[in-house]
Amino acid sequence: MKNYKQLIIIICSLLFVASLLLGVKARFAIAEEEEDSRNLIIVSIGDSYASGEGIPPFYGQEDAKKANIQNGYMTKPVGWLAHRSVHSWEGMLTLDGVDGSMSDERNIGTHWFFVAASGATTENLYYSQHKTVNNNALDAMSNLYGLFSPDDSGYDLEPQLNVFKYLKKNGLKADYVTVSLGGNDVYFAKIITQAAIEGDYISFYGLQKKIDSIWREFDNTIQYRIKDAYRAISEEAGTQATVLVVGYPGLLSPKGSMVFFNTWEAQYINEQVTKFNDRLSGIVESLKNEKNDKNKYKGYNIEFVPVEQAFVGHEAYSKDAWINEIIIPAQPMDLDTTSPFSAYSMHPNIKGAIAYRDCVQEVIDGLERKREASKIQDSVISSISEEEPTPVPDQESTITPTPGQESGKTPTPGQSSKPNLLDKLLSNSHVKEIGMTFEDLNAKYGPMEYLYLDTHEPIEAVFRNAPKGPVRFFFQNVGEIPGELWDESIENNGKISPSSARKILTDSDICTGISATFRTFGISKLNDYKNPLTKDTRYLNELFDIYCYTTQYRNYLFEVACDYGSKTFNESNWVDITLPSEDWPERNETKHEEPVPTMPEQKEEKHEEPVIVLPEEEEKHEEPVVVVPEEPKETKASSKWHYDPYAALNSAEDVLNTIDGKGATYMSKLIRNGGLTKVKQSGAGDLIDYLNNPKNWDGERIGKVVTDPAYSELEVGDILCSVCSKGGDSGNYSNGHDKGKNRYWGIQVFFVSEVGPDYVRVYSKNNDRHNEMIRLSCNGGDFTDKCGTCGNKKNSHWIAFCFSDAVKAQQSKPEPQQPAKKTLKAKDGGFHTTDEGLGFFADGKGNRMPLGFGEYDNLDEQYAVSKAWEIVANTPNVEEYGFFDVDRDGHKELVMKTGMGEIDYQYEFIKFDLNSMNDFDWLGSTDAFHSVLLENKGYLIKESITTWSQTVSRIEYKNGKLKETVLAEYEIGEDGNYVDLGYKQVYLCTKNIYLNY
Amino acid sequence: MIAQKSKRILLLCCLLLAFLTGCTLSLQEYLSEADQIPTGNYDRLQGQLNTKPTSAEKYYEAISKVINQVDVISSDAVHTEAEAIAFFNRRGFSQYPVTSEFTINGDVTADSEMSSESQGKHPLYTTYFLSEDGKLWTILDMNGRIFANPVFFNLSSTLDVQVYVSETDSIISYDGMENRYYETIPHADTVRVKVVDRIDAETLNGLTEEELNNK
Repeated sequence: MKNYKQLIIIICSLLFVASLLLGVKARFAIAEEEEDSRNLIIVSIGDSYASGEGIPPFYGQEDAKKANIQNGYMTKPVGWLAHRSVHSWEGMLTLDGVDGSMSDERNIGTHWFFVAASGATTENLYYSQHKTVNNNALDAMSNLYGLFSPDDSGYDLEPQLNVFKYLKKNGLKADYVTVSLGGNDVYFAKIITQAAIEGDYISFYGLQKKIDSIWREFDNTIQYRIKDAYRAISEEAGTQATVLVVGYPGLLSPKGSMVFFNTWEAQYINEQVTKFNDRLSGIVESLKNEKNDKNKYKGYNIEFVPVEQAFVGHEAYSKDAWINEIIIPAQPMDLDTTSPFSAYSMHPNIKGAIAYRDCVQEVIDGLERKREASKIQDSVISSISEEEPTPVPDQESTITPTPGQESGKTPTPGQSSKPNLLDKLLSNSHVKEIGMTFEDLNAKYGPMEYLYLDTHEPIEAVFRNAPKGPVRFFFQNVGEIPGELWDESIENNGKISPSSARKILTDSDICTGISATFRTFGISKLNDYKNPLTKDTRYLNELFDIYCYTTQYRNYLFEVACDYGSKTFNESNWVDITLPSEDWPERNETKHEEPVPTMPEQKEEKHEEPVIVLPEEEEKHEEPVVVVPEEPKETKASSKWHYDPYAALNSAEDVLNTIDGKGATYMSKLIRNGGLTKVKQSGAGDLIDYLNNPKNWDGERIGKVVTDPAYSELEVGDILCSVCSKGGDSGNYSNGHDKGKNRYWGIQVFFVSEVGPDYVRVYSKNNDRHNEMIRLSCNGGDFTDKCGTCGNKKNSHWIAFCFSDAVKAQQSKPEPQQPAKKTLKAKDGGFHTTDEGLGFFADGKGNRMPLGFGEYDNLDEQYAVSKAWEIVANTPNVEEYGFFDVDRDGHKELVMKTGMGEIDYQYEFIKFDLNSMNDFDWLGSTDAFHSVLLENKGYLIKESITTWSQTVSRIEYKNGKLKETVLAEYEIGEDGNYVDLGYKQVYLCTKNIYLNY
Repeated sequence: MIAQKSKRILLLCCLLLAFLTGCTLSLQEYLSEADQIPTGNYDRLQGQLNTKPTSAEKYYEAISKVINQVDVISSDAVHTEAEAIAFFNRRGFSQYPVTSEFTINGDVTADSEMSSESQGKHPLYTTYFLSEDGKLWTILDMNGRIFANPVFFNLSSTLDVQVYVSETDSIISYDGMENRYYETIPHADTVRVKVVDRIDAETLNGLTEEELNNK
């Protein structure tokens, strides 16, 4: 009996446990079902920048081209009429729980409702938009069925707000509404297009006058129309929907399209876009704070998503344009093909659409994660309140506790008991954490697991190596604050104005390193980082919407501006830098006289925390290489090098940047190994004068012209100055004042870090790469091949500022004999190179081969050589390679013989072209079976020889095609004699030469 | 249909030709050929154009030889809307509407299409002309004179300067700030002026890129 009772108790217990388990399971099942049933919906409203104008094909365009008749009625191709692109950025958006992107067929009309239309204004939210068609590409059927007949030449698109009525009718609600609207109300694109085709010489101030007129209209009426429009969208969409108002991109490259616009005009136009975006953003902000009937305690659920920064450098007429240029004539799928120019003009292309997508996706994902996080938090809090109180790990739990934290004290959920940066950020929307070194931060807030993000590294590489789980990270820049801001800060006791802070953001290296929307200082769920290879940064920083801009200089963290919960930086939000003046690094270079073991930044030493190290094979492709501290090898006078070369170069540039009208400068005296001292400055062009009339100069006033290859006169620690004697581009490593122009004298300074028997290594700052320190090697005694700074290398001259007593003494002695030219190690040809990269191309006889790249407008020889090296190195099975001007345009192409053996040998031809996507174009290939390349009168001749025949053909690239024309065929007789054509052999070298060098 | 295809092929050929011919002549080469630029002028010019000019007078003085200045309102030569339309029509430019974006007082106007019945005047009239081979021109009427801007050429040109077609070696420009006309002979490094006897549809149809390139 007792056993029965026990058995019953056991069975009951089991049933109870089972019921509990089933209950739990059922609850989970319900939850999962609820989750599955969540039907996320995006509605896309707006104008041409939302519809995808300019990126064909458009939805329904095939229906437009060919009459689509259903039930005897012509189907109106509404998508085409609205110019809704199949590749619109909204269509590329994705949502958690929704397969594929919005434009996937199954998602259209289920998760995505696309009603944006090209040409729409705010009015077309409420009233229909009439689309007129005048397209002569449509077939006769279209007209036959009266689709676009003269008396019915168009179609009225429905008011865009009607989409919400449709959703309501079908019991649906939008979760996100993307909006790009307002641009057509101010018709910037139209004005710019018109201004361009009128020409700026004809109408002075016409453009500004029109734009001024628009701004007056904007202030009087348009801004209210836009605000009403955004409000109406929010109200129609409902409080559950987040309205994402997307900004507009800058349209014109200040550096491009100079035929139509002067630099200042292009800048002016872009400034208007910035101003317009600021105004749109301001409208959104005001709506966020506006109390309304439907949402009494909060403002409207609306966000502004800026895209402008993402397009910097990618405006129309830039090298890598994401905005269409002015397209003439109208395109076949334009509604009006008789228009003189296409409606595609001045709208984003496919790359632009991707950039748009990225900006918006980032925000959507952030909001989704925030929602998830709050759901989790709610459930945690509710479980805490319902069940016994146990410490709940919050989001900070993986961070090492701060020293001094009281043991045993349970942190409040969601709040850390220790002061930390995150708390500080959360408690203050305009955070100032100023003047802290990272050591200071560690000391104050305890050790944190920092991720050191070097802006020069691809971000995906960083995250590929990041530990999983929540990690706190700092974004650091190795760039420096522009010099003028230094001056300003010193004059104002360490403060800079908001406008200067903005300048830092927009002009300096801070925002250009990785992505347009640069953000930092947050917690990232790195384990959610999904696709490191697509440069997709959308998963950064979503847990908390903290958007900060910081910069760092010499390990000082400068927080320029920080805003919490907003992606918008208004002028009022800028935070002055209030770094105590004593904490500012001294500008006086004597400060840097103390021994500095590494160069140029001591970032690795400062941080023992994990530094992200790229795998070696990836590092190989990072070019140019960020300086890695390295002990000088056996070099002359290396022990004398004990001051900071970065500071030395800065100081030298300070002197050099004293520019007169033409950029020629004068450096009077520089002192070796004690930093650089500016003694006096005087007349312009002295360096040039020194080159031309050395006798007019006493040796003490200026350095010595470095004669090639007399490296013996250089010592580590010298400052080298390169001068273009006849003008020219100062090249990739310009010191800034003449950057990008070929008009001025080019001057650049280098720090000599190593001097070998036949080479010298120097460091230079690369303005194009945010003043990154670049290490260069000049081999074989020739600076100009590797380190030349003039567009035309032959005009490059080098002056070493060597003022040690030894050098002075040397100067008084007779000129030393030129050492014999070094014999190249690559005896049978190939790129003469070191582990630093390429020097030049050698012919195997100790001679340097001119490559003929120097005349390229935008492609210098050094670049071409390194690109060639890269191509050769990355192409499988390269047997031989060399250079030949196969298209006879005066510039040589890379020729590679590839293949595994005679049977599949090919000659491949590659042209360097910075305007192409990969900086080069593959021209084509031709058979290389038993062949040799020859030259005759500038033509490339291929001689192919078999046992039986000898074929001579000419290879040329003409009219966009690589052609091979057989010139002659000779039979090889019994004697086996071949015809000697007497042509010069084109030198090709074998690949393994340089690889083993 | 065939005609359209031919037109397109011809247009493509022309664009290609424009590109190729443009490539063959760099600005520097052009300047040296033209031999019209005093030493140092280029730098000065660059400086002028890269900063916002403060007045039309300074602007045109820097980049051209100013021949004459005329106040728009006091000029008798300004066409009425009807005259401008007739003026363009006589020369074969009737494909596109005539527009103007400024009133005679220099204000910006939204109502830009001109009427053949209106006696209102405007400082600058514009229309387009699409040549037989599909090349786009902007035709301008200022102070009773006609000019043509070969948009198709300037868009694809590798020259650093725009080319305008005029019936004399001077050009009229409109200063929207002071509501004045400037008659100028532009420096060759600013604008190139291609002089033809008469600007009309026939002439523009016959002008080749090569001719525009070679002044």
